[in-house]
Amino acid sequence: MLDQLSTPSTSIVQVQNEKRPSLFSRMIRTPGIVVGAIGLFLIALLAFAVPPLAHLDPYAVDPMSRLQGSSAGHILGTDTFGRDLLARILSGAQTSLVVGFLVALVSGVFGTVIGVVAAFNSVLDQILMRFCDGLMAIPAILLAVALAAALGPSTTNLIIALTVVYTPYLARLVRSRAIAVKSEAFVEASLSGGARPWHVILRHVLPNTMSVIVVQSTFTFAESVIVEAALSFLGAGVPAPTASWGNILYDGKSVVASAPQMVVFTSLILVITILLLNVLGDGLRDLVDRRAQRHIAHFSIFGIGRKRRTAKKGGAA
Amino acid sequence: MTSSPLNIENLAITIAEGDDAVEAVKSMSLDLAAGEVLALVGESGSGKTITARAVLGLLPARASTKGVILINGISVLEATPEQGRKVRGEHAAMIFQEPSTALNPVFTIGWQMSEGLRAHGISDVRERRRRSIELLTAVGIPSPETRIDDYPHQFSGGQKQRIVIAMALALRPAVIIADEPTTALDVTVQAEILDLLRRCRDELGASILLITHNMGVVADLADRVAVMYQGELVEVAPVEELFASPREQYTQDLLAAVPRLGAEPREARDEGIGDVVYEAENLDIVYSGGFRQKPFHAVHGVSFTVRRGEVFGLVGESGSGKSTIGRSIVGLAPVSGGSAKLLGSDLRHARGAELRELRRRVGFVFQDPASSFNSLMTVGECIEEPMRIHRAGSRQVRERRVNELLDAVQLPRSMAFRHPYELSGGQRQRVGLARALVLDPEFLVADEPTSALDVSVQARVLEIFNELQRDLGFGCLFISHDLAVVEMLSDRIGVLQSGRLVEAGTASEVLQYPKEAYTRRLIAAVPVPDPKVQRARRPPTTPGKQPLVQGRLFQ
Repeated sequence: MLDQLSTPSTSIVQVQNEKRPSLFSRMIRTPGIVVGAIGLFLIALLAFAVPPLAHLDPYAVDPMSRLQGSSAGHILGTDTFGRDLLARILSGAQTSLVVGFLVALVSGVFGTVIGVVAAFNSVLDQILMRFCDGLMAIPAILLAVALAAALGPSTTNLIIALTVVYTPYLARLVRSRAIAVKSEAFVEASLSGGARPWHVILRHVLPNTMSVIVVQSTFTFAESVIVEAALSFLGAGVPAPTASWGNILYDGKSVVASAPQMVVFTSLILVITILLLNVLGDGLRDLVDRRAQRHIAHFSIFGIGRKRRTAKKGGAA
Repeated sequence: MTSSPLNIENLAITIAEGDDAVEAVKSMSLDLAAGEVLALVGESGSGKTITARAVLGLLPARASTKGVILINGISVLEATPEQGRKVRGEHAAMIFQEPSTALNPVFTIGWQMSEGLRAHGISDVRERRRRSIELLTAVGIPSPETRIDDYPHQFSGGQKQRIVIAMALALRPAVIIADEPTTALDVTVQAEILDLLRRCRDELGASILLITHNMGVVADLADRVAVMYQGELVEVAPVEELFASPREQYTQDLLAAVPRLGAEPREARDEGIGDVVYEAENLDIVYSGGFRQKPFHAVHGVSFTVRRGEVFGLVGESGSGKSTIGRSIVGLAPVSGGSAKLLGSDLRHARGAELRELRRRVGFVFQDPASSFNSLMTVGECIEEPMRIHRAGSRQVRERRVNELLDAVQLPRSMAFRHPYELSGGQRQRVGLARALVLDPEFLVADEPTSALDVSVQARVLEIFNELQRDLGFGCLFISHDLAVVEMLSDRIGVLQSGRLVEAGTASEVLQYPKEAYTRRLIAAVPVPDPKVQRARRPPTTPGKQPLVQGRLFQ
């Protein structure tokens, strides 16, 4: 009798048994990730591969040909010192991408460590979180300016300043996620089996927090590119003569009427980079938060949601 | 057109699931007569809840329907939003499974009750309040004049369900749909709610579509039963006929799987029972309160022992402290007073390595198989986790052990590479059992291991559990609110009430010749899955009860 009963339960299971597609195949079906990742890869390729191949020198000064329009020698024209604008912009892209990536990486690591420690130790929690609150109370750009001024102008110090600015945001996020994971039944199961905190952190908390960290770090990347440009524009960021989108914009500001190419092209690539990073971040978030995706698809009116889904596939292909 | 308040004809519901579509309901036809209680039973996933939602026109946007649903002659599936709102409330109303989530915690119940009345055109504030108070009186809320201004959290679970019923009754609908109305409640409260629903039918003439998986509830309340299986109506029959001679194989299996109190008590035995593995003496458990909060005394002076090879069943209503005792054994709750000896060591004083060694020798099976696994780990990794924690065995040894256990709980070995969310509830709970047994524990704590499962699945899991317990001979503390399940498995039983052990003894002593009034009340409240027996057991309508219809109500 009981054997007959197990028949229904297995047939219900078969509905659920369909193999879930792998992470990679889900990623290439999320248009945000595909567009963002390919776009950023192209920008990085341009920034790091083109200057050495095309012998572009961002520091070659030529006072005779200042502020020229585009020509065969200078595709995007020249800047206030007669330097090749394309070379400057690509060199600035190197700076921006390196600064953004390192800030995202380092604040990601520190934020995770601080967040997890805070989630697991109530005394350190109070100390660390009040410290984070303090840092978060100061507007990001103001704090970055103050830190950059205090540390002195250099790219390394800029990275340190931006890391200090963005770590608290990540720490807060990781902490709240870690606390939520800590109260899940599977962690209790692990603890009831005699697990040490270290085991719980490595096997349960970190894997379940990783998605949040990756998504947030992508947005940190985007924001630090903006803030780096803003700081360099204000003169508190990357020191001259190193190229940065911020100081190209600053130089271009005074000559915007006679040589608009400086401001136009630099702004354009800045906007495109930030857009790509945000698209990538949104895509990652869609991937991680299956529920959000399902809601978008299901709470549709007149089947627009379903059309959207097929459109997504077309975009990915 | 018939005069019955609810007709369902050839209803088919398809739900879009990504690119596939699932046929949730396939061509079903059903009539609900006036003043009738029709029970819709079936396993989870059989389509009973989605049918009820369709009746109220509350399907998700991704569902598409075929067929006709008529409520008092109004076609629900073709209704305009305006008509739909009129149907919901005036012609049909719903009682939900979980009363604590059906009420909005930030508004008073009076506000929530008058909200429905206002939506249906009663504009006078005092009139709405008067009606709300009358309704609360009718469903048996004490001193409704003052309690109407209370918030949902100030009521108990049973009272909240009464309020939900009052809201459903507000406009005196012809059809009441009750979706598992007592599943979240204790048996004693369940009996009261069933009584109230019966009076709604008897005194107001409402037709009730009762959705449940509990055959005892069906036997108690229903006039007719419709059995659903995988979206199809398998059998419809009057309740006595269905229980006496079920026609379909599936119905027979379903009824056979229902655990019955007093049906198959575990035979008393002495062989295989060894020394004491757990001993609680005057055990006190106090949860320390937070800042300026009173500590909560969950367990008061409880004493009992569990020996090797023996199953000790711990029963009690929610809040009685039964889970707390189980959790204290594995260190998820503090032992604050008295003594708790686990495998010879005192839990109050054990620290560090000694404590970890104790954990290695104890297994724990959790209630909800859905949340007790890390969804990023495979089933194999979940089962071997305790071995990794205690660094027991190399990779090959662990792999072999996982396979052994999958065999033991009768799951295919290929399951080891699946993820927990790909498994059904019953399969997941078997994995939970495998995880608890992986280190060959001497003592196992099972906290309501089958309460989240369907009866047929529950029967299978309990059978496996019983076999393994006999073969491996571990001592077990089996915690459950279901007396029939406890009776099936336990050698001895303890009854908890508000943190105190009121009665303990062998299974037959406690359940057949209970000494305490509380135990008797608990046993009496369990509905027997047999309509004839249940009818005879039912107490005559208590005198002095307020009639549901009174004064100017429902004019």
